Amino acid sequence: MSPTLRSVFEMTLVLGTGLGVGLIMNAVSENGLDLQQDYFPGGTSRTASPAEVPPTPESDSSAAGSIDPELLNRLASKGLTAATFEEVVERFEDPMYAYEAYVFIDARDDDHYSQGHIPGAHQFDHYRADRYQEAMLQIIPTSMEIVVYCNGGDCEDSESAALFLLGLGADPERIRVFTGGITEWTERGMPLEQGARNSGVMLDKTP
Amino acid sequence: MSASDHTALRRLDATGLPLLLSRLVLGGMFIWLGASKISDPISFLKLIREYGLVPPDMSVVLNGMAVALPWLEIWCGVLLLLGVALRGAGASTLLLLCIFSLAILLRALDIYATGGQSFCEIKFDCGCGAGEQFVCAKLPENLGLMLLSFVVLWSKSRRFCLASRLPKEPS
Repeated sequence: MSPTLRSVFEMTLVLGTGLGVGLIMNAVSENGLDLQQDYFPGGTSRTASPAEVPPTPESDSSAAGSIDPELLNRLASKGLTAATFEEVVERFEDPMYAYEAYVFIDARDDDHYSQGHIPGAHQFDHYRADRYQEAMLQIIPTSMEIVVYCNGGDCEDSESAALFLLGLGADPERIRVFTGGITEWTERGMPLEQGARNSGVMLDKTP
Repeated sequence: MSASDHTALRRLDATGLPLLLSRLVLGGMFIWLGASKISDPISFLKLIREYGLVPPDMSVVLNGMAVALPWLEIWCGVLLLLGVALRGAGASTLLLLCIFSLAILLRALDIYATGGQSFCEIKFDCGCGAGEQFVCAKLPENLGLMLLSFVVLWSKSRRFCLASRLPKEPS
């Protein structure tokens, strides 16, 4: 066998074995991914240029004033509606929030959630949807409105989580995406709760 | 390259030191970068999705890449450190580095085309395992690793290799 042919043969063997090891390790790992799962429902990448996003006459005009129009278009192309900071605060301060008429969903992972979330928010990490599905199925039919958020900025997890909730039977009219996310919430001086939901441990923001 | 240069290079190669150095650096880098991605496959999945190389309806390919690539990198690194199947491991790292570098370059050009910053100011987390890096630092780094892969492929020495201690195949 010529050296070149041997190199190609060995390379195929090494690549095949390495990929096989990866797939086996994924299958046995607790952190493994479900290969069949579409973790980014909606299909629109945030790297898409504005020209690729269809126009959205149905965009929420109340939110349009303070949210990037490109982001509004992207949400609308996925059948989602944005919520501004003011709208989110209004729901947070509504007495009905305590009775879960308004439900906040934190779409971030365990570490970020426990470091600080909107007080009373439920966690729904859609990458591990099976862990939260039962709780979400209880929330969806009883809430008047669900507000989903993640970090804000480039974060798309709130959109993916909202689409998962739609897949679980949530009414699109009652789902809002807080695009500013935890970043805007924190920057504008709103309280954060640490640890588990309703832990009562508030983040000390004093310098 | 003159014949005498070539002979000198071969004499240097016969010491086994260029190959040993290349194996240690390349193998160590691949194991380190692969291991840094394994603990959090979701973060790696998000990062490789940013390249937009896989169509949205082919999530199984994207997910497969996210779970298999880090282990493939570690596997190549282990083979290099042990000195087993060096041609295959060297060719694999060379191929992977070419693909990774091309993807990084295309994404950087995409960002550059949107304007606002010079090419060398472009910085993003390429999913390489070392966090955010400047493109102008990452691409030369990959070029250096490609050179080391080439040394592994080119070297005829098998000194300091586990393979040299294994029984020979009957000819």
